[in-house]
Amino acid sequence: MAGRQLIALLRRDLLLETRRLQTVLSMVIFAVVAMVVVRYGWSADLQGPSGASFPSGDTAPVGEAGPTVGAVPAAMLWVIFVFAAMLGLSRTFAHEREDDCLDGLLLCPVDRVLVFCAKAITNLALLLVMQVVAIPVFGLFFLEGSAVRLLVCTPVVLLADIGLASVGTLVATMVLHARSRDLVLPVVLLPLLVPVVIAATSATAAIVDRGAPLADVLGRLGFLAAYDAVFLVLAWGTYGLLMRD
Amino acid sequence: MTPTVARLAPAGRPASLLRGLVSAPFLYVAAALLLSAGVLLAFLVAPLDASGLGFTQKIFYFHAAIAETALIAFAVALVAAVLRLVRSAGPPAGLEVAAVRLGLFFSGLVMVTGMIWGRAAWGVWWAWEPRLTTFLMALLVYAAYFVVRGSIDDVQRRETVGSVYAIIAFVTVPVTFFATRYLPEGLHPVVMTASEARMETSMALTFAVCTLGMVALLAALLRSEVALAAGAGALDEVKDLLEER
Amino acid sequence: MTGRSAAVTQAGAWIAVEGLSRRFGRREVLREVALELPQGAFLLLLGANGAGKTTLLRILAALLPPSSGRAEVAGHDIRTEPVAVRRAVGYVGHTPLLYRDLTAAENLRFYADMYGLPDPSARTAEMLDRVELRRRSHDAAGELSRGMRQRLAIARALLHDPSVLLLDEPYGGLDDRAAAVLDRILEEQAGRTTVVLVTHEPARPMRWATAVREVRDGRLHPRDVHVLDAGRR
Repeated sequence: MAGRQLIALLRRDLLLETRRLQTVLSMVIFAVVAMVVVRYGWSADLQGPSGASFPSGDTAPVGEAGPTVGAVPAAMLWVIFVFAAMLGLSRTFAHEREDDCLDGLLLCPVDRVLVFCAKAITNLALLLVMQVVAIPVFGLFFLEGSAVRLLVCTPVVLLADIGLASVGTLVATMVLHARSRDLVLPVVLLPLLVPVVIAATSATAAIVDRGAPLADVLGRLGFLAAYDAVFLVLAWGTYGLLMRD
Repeated sequence: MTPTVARLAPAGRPASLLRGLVSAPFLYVAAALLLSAGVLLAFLVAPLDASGLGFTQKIFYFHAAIAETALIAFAVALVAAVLRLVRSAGPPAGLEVAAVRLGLFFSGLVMVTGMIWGRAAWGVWWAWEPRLTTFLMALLVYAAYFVVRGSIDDVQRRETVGSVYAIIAFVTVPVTFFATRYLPEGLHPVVMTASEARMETSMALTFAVCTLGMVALLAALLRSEVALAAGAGALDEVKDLLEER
Repeated sequence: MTGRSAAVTQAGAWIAVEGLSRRFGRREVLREVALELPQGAFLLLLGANGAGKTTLLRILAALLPPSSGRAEVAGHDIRTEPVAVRRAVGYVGHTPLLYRDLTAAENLRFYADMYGLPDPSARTAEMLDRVELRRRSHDAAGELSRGMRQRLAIARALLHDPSVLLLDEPYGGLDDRAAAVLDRILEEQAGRTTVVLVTHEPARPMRWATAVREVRDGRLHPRDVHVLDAGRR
């Protein structure tokens, strides 16, 4: 019964999304445009009077105390991912709201946690589709020679995405009935996502830079997994209450 | 129609959770005495810190006491939120809001005292190290609590969503608490660990008195805020009743 | 738990409401409402706009928690067993509760799956026949006329063969064809299903009514059926 309901919910979200492709296209276009802007601004800056060329992953000059080569692009990558994710998360209940059929969903004899699971999985899928396009673009723009190493980042991306999708779905439900919710969602969501961004950034940077010890990367992954677990448990415990009123 | 007196009586009575504690005036007096004693102990009795921090270490007694108090306030909000969600007749509505507001107030003081200490000890007002960053993050997460509540019109829904958010926001507290201990690149000193208290007895006593004083201040302010909220609620009801006559 | 349920429904009431209140902020929309309906009853709920009719219906559908008081629908407490209540209730609200980008058939199929019905495809086809929408089953719900959407909404509400039917102004804005379909369906359901129908034009559904109440100032008032007979055909 529960499995069938979950599949029905997912199938409906998939049908609605593929019928227009609005959300996922917006996310992809946003991510790529943001990278183009950053990359262009950066190269203009680096090819200034000093004539320095853009640092590629392996040969860039590193300042003594400054961030490592991977750190700045990695931070930019995750900031862009978070904002692109925001576009999808703000549309978590868009169909229910726009077609005025949230009541229809609430009338169904379904455990609210299943609704959370379905919405979180849909959000996760949207993120992954966006990243399948955006990560190669990132490699092409910022890493050139060492782009293949991004494949190693897959576990980082997966764990961070689960965090983004679950916390995002939870907060999207909180602001479901809020006034000016498009304003409230990012304000509430971004501080909660800071740990994910920090951990994912440093893990990605460590992988791209190659120099970092494996233990560091594993530590970040462990942190991401713990973060995901904590918020999944919290969502499981509170979701019924959020949907009750 | 419920009789006026019966409807007003519960709102006007002191909060049930806090009723067992001592009265608000007593708490204010206790806080004043303890904090005065703390100042005297810190500057006259406790020895100069030998580890190189010297005289600037005096601010620790207040800085750390305020920090612990802020975290206690957030913990009070957590407990109030859980009780309200689990059973409908939990602590008074004002307690959770008051605890978050006071937690934010004490967090602000932590920021100020911490920056003063940082300027004196490290020569900088701010450093992007784990303790400071996680504390700032906790501050932002809790500030968003009021954004969430403010955006929801329906009172019952606002209370539920607010309580769920107070629970979720508390995730940032243990992260902040353990940031000094387990994250490697911290500048922040660890004064007390479970294994060894690195303080002389007089230092520990001073710290304990200051912490008790701050907690007494928190309790007194909480009582006042809850009484104020109850009074405002009762006033609204009286206004409604007058309207109906 | 069972003992308490039995106590409230001892008279065989299929819908039992006791001391039910609901506040929105400081505004009290329902005050101490009490209601008992036996199985198969047909209640007409009248009242001015904003009197609290919709709020009462939403509480009975377990869409909205009451501020205080108790309510049981089909023998299940709306607070402690909302899932069982939802399984028993069919609800037609102000909006058709359909996804505009999904076809008529896809909409019904989704709800059939959510209610865990055996053979959802057959049930979907059967309901589309009953509301005379078979030929439009592959059109997106957003492209259907308002009357057709309302018919589809009725099909959605009856999909899981509910024992309680809650209807909020079901005749509002219906074209003749849709009203005729609704008449036929109510004729079939009357006496079999417990119906609560909210309306401020009681003439049409009057013929099935076994009880009439008016919501005024958040309270239920009995309304003499004979007064309404004037408007009856």
